[in-house]
Amino acid sequence: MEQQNDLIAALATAQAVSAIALVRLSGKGASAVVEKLMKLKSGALTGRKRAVGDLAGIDYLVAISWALGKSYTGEEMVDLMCHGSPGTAARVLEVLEKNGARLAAPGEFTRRAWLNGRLSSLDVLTLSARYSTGGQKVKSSDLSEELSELTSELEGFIEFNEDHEVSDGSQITILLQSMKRRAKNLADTVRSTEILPRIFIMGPINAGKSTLFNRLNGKETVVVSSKPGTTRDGATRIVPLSGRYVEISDSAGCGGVELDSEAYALQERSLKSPDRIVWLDPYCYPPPVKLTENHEVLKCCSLADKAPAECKPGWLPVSSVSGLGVDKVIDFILTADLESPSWRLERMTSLLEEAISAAGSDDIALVAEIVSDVLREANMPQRYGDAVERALERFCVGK
Amino acid sequence: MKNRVLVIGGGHAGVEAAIASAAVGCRTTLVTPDVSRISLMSCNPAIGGIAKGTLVREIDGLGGVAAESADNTALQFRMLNTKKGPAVWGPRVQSDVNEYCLSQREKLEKAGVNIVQGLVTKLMGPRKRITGVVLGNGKEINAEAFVLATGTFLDGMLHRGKTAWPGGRRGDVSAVALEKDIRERMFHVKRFKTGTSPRVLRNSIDTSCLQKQISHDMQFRFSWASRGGIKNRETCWVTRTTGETEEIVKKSLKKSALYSGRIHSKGPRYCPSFEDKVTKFPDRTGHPIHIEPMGLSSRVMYLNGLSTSMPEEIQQEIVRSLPGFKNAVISAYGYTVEYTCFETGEFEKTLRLKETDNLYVSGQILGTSGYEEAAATGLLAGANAARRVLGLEERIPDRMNSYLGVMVDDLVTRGTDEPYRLFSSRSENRLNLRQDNADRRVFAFAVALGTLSQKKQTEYRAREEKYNQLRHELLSRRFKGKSIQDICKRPEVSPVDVSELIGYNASNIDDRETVTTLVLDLKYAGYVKRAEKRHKVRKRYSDVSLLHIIDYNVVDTITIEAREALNKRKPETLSDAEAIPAVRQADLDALVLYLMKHSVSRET
Repeated sequence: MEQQNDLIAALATAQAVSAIALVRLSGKGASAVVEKLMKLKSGALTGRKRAVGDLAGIDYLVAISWALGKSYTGEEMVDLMCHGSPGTAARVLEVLEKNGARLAAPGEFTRRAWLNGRLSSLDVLTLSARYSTGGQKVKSSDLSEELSELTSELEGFIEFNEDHEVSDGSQITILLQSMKRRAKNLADTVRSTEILPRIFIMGPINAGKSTLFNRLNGKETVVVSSKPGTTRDGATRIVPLSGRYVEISDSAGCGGVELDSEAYALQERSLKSPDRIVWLDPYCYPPPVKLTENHEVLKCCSLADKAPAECKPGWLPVSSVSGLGVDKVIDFILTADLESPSWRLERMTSLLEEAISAAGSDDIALVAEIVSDVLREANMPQRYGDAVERALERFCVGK
Repeated sequence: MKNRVLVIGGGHAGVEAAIASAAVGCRTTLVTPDVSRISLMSCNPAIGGIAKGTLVREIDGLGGVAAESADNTALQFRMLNTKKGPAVWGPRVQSDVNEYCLSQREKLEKAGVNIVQGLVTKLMGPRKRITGVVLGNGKEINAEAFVLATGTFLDGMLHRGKTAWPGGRRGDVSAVALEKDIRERMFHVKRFKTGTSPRVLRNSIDTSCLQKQISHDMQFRFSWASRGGIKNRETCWVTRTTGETEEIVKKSLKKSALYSGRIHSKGPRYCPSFEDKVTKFPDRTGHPIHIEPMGLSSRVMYLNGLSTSMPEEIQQEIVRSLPGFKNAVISAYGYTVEYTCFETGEFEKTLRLKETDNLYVSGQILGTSGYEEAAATGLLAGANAARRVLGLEERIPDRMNSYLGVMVDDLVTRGTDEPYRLFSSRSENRLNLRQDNADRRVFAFAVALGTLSQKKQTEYRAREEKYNQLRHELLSRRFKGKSIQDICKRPEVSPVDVSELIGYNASNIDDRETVTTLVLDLKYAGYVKRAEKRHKVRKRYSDVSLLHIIDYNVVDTITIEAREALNKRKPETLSDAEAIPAVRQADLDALVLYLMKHSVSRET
């Protein structure tokens, strides 16, 4: 059984020549390993300490240790700052591996921080969105702390008629307005870089998949961006739908000739559980169980303009030519994006707007209800589990 | 005719219990030490308040009598919280204490309840199945089911300064022998305390310098059976403590029964003694004191907000330091009462003691505080006792539909370590638990419980038909291109505006209220739906087992307080854990993460 706090190490800075490279070591025994390799007294790197010296004859470097519960990961952690040639860092990692550490998996440091309660789910999501851009540091958990304080203020205001000193409606409004501004700023910061929800248009060959894909890409939805790296083949586009960006892939049909079915199998393997599938079939044959078990699937009876009577119950009649049912397909696609941090922040923003209006009409009970909704958006860990897992996959080591 | 249900205690809980039992169909007897003090308000002369007023209207919807009596004996009416949204409006009346007693007595008689004067000293029969009670005079009364509604009387001990004497309330006996019998029967009990304020002679107060309070200009009645709104019959006043008042309390704290270490039981945090207020907020002065008449033209005034257990001479000093009270004469001094009540875990949500077949508990011995809380739990206990006797299924109210449901669920699953008082924030469905729609919310339960008379059911159905008609008409039309839902969501729209939209003339208070409910239902529909959905999700927590966590100290991401509570209670599922007061949302989240982490370790 693998322990969740076993010792992991990774290069935390870029794999290139630079003045300094940072190797991070986290987990049980991190301090002891470095103390041994640097020939320091036991305890010299326990808690928040610093040491300068030779490490196993490889390099003269600076070691900074973090106390349990106070580090990024929440575990015992040591940062080693060595000279910045990739060779040096590689040798440091090698000696750490020989002494019991293993190389960290992608996102593992952040995952531990999350599991140890050092980062909220929303923090992980916003962090991953900002990872490459280095956007300004705004911690969403500060916002949630303020929100929970406001909640208790509001409850006191409601229950304790005369005796409570807090505030009248106008003070509440001012507080709400400041929070709304910050939620909006945060939303703007993360929107441009976040992970997009992925939609796969699938189904048997000749079901009209490409027609739907083009329709979604087409008249109402012009392609405005195709991020390098996210486009795996010619049939994946980043598309704005009602102001939200989503990644839509057209796929090879199943049940075709050899080459097609190979392409289909490849597509099927690249699916991850949060991805949504729009399944098209003019004859309403049920999609493979493997897909329906692991994904949200919208079953569409395509070519509905040609034979509308054949649509079975539970299937949505869709015609990409006439536009029949396309709005429902878009609704389905958009709800896939509910987990994205910018959407959550935007929902928080518009909820706060709603709360401000309720405060204006002296409906404090309604304000309290809405504020607790906002708080839930900020804190909900369970529902966002999938999104967080996806965000963690995005982190890579040795960037 | 043979007596089937016996109610022990004639306070707010006992009266509702007896009437509910009779309504369900059992011959019922109520035994009380003093028949002239049935439903006597031991503390402030008022019914209702935030959440409490809503509960009174639920009692009305359930066929109880407190609402009607409150309407009939009201001296003035005020709607609290009108600036905080209709969901938390709190109707409250000043009552004539004597008229209230008489009204309640009349209701008992009308319901055919047999009233017996006597002090119960002993239960008869085995613990599992009580067969009867013994009175102080040796007389025995048998029954098939029993409701304990003894309020503060179980080994009640009154404290003032250094003196302490037995009593259930000022001027009443203490049920010492019955308490001993209950302890000997090995039920788990605890001691709670509560207090009351001094009363002052009206003609000794100079009201010329005080702020006056009269009824709000708003038509209101608790009960649908009452005709017309409550009228203003009396004036109240407000004064505020001066720094001098607080100084007197501070220098005399050691003399207070509460602070001299003589009382160790838990008191209500939210209905604190004046000593508590001064100790907890040492820098504050100007605490409001409401001066409320005990009855129409009564010569005695109650000082709401000045509950104290100081010795008499200090109480005198405190009172005389208030503006307008320089020459005040105290007619009855404040005191603290300590009493026995049942531990959390002893009773079920039906309010039957778990280890018995036929003994029910209600009111303050559940650990509650307040007339309204007592009355509502009395109604439930009485109805379930009668149902049990008749071989019918006992009923449990749903916390999503009523404050009664919230209270019963809180008392049983969360427990309380201080006298439990209702708050609107105890409900997760507050926008729906309003005072205006109380009858709609509880109707189905009232029918299931069997406490609502045929006449009232018919009346309700007529109102409901009107509601549905109006609703249908509003929903089927568009007004200047807008749906009625959109219109109702606008903050400035009033029920009167909506009536005018369809030319509906809400000519009386009942019709106006129906329109109000309709407008608020439409306005809050989205929020209420979401709350109900969340409730369902939360219920899913009950599928997550926690049994494999042997020691919560290994879960170092949750607070030490939560770890201790979890180790003590060892909840079976996540939803049981959620019900523990010390476990907060953040702890639950951390628990979920812990479980995730460990399922990961097991897989790899």
